[in-house]
Amino acid sequence: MNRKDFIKSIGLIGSGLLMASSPWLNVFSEEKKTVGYRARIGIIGTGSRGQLLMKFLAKNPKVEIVAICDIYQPSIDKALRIVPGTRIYKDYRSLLENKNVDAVVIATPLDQHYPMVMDAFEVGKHVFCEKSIAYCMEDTFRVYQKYLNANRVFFVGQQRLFDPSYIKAMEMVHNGTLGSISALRMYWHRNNDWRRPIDKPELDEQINWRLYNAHSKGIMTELACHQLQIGTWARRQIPNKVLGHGAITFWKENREVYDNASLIYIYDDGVKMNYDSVLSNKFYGLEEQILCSNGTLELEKNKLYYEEIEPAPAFLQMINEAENKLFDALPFAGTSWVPETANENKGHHILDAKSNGDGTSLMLYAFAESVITGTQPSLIAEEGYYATQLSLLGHQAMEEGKTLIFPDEYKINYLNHKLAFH
Amino acid sequence: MGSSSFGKMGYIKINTQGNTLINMHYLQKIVTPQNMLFYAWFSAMHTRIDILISTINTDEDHYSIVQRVEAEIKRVEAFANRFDEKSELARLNQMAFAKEFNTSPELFQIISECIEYKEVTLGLFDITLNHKNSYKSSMNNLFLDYEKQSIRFFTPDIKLDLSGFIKGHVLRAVKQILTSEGILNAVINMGNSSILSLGNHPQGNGWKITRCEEPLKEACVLQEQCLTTSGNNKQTRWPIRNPLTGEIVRPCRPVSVLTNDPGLGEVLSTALYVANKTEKEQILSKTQGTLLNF
Ligand SMILES: NC(=O)c1ccc[n+]([C@@H]2O[C@H](COP(=O)([O-])OP(=O)(O)OC[C@H]3O[C@@H](n4cnc5c(N)ncnc54)[C@H](O)[C@@H]3O)[C@@H](O)[C@H]2O)c1
Repeated sequence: MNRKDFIKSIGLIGSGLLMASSPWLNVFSEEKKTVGYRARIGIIGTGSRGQLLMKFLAKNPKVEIVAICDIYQPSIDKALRIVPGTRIYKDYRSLLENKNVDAVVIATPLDQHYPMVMDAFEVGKHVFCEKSIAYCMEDTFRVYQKYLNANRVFFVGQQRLFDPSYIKAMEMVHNGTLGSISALRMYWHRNNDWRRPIDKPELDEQINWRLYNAHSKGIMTELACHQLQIGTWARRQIPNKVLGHGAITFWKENREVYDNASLIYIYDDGVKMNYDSVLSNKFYGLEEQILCSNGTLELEKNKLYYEEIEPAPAFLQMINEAENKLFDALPFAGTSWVPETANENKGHHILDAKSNGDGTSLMLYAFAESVITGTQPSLIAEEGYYATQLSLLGHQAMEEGKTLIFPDEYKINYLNHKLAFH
Repeated sequence: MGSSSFGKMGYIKINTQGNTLINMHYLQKIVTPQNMLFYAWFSAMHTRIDILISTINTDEDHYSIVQRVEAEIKRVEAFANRFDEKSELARLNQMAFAKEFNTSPELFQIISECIEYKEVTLGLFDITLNHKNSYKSSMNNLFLDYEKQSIRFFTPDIKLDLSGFIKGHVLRAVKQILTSEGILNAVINMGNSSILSLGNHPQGNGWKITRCEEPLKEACVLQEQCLTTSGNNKQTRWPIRNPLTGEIVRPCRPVSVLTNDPGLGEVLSTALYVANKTEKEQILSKTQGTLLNF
């Protein structure tokens, strides 16, 4: 699905409810006015994620990738295949001095984010920073404060915020279609060690930064960050308590970060968000399940299950295809339907066609729009902020083996933290 | 592949004054500036009820209309479900042998109407079951006092079973509700076996409906009509029996009939499922119904 189809499909224009649920989509309301303008972007960190982001950016006529920066030649070489002839830097500070750069996209290892974001805001650049924002809660807080004072656009790479089926699902959660949220269950399971092949042993820590404590917080900052954000989006609330346990149980060689983690995030009203990740079994894959009193959502699968009774497929199809104006037969007549014959609840698609891609493309379109207009879309920075902080707090809870309370000093003026904010 | 959405969706759960629990999902979609589709579904009568309304695009709330419909269905279910011990029908089944049972006017009217259908269906539509007498008809052991509106059984072994008729009774009431609310175009589906249509599909005349399994030769177009289907399959909980022999009719192609009146539809589809070829012809010659695929 391309951007236009997406916007049409979720009825973006004129859908008040949708905007209330995902107000950052407002960023597209000026789309026509920005035609002919360009966001001039510099990429810092052109590794695997950086290259993917570049591929999307390069498709947008409103974007010009004017510079790239990396310290590793193979990453630069690959990036040049996407944008031949662009300006190359080995030191991000020099890239930041380039006056032709309006905005930077930062896709370096986690421990590198903090100085890069801070310096970029300092010189007045707009910033797109890959998740997680920073390596510790204090740095993340400082980044957010810096953003508030910089008066520049700040995006964090939480692409689910732009995934059509997530947006639609959240609308249903917020408008009460599914009743109240009883529980959230998130998991991300894989069966690999995260290790990338290296030519020289001395490059191990640089290439395989994810595996080492000095650079990464492993499962929490690499995986959980995306899924914990879903909790905040769905509940419009920050859980204030977390406990958990992390361990290395399978990939014991050359690894410092956990390969096995379980956490419980507890909201003030007692509702919980459970998080699990093991890296030595991939059968269940990844999922965010929202368990509501009247239905269940499985967001990765784009599925909705009604708790009480399923709608008739023939009617759903007719409503779905109503625009096509067909006088088709409704195939549902038959002998009496009894619930027992529907012993398996197969559920329904939240959006009819699963959008191809996960929102990353649309998120980058949104970033370009924001850079051109200089307007920060609502809630984007705050959603990114709490996704990172909750990941980091969870990590700390596992390290300390304690139940931790969200520290007052890191609360910002958002949702249920508004009151405590000073 | 194009993607699409449902538009507005919702869920309503309320207790009405009569303490009926309204428990309904709905979807609403504005298709064009002139057309809106509203679909609600809920469970009642041991099945799923679907209501699809097609109207001009107004801001009018259809929830209250559909809630009225649901409340009505649940009201009928509450007195006519023989498996619910508290229902009027269950109490009648339990007590009418010991002494005459004074029924509500509505239940009396339903039972007497069902008995009238015995003749026109050659005895193949029968609401009496005698479980001690191999489930054969027990109509002879039933006495209706039309003046007192009371019912008496002459044997302790019969039970009245209205499940072959009650959906028709409900659909009559639903039609009245929708019409009184100014709804001109709608389909009401009671568990796939009893379907009532009003007016037109947004893109055509009437509503084109077909069977999901054992398809009809061609889809039939309902014009203010009912499509009623009966049959036994492996999953049937309360199979249709031949009241003359008491035997369960062995599973075969279900029977679908088109009628103007939903009550007649129930009666005909059941009787025709039991009937042999000559009986079918005879029954159809005396009634206002069309047997599909015949
Ligand atoms: N949003 C998502 O779904 C998603 C997916 C994957 C990765 N990410 C995030 O993207 C970031 C990068 O991950 P990756 O998988 O691309 O890692 P990677 O190791 O493939 O790429 C990182 C790149 O940064 C370069 N780099 C390191 N230090 C640098 C410095 N000081 N200056 C310039 N370049 C430097 C490296 O040489 C490398 O090319 C991480 O924060 C990760 O969490 C996000």
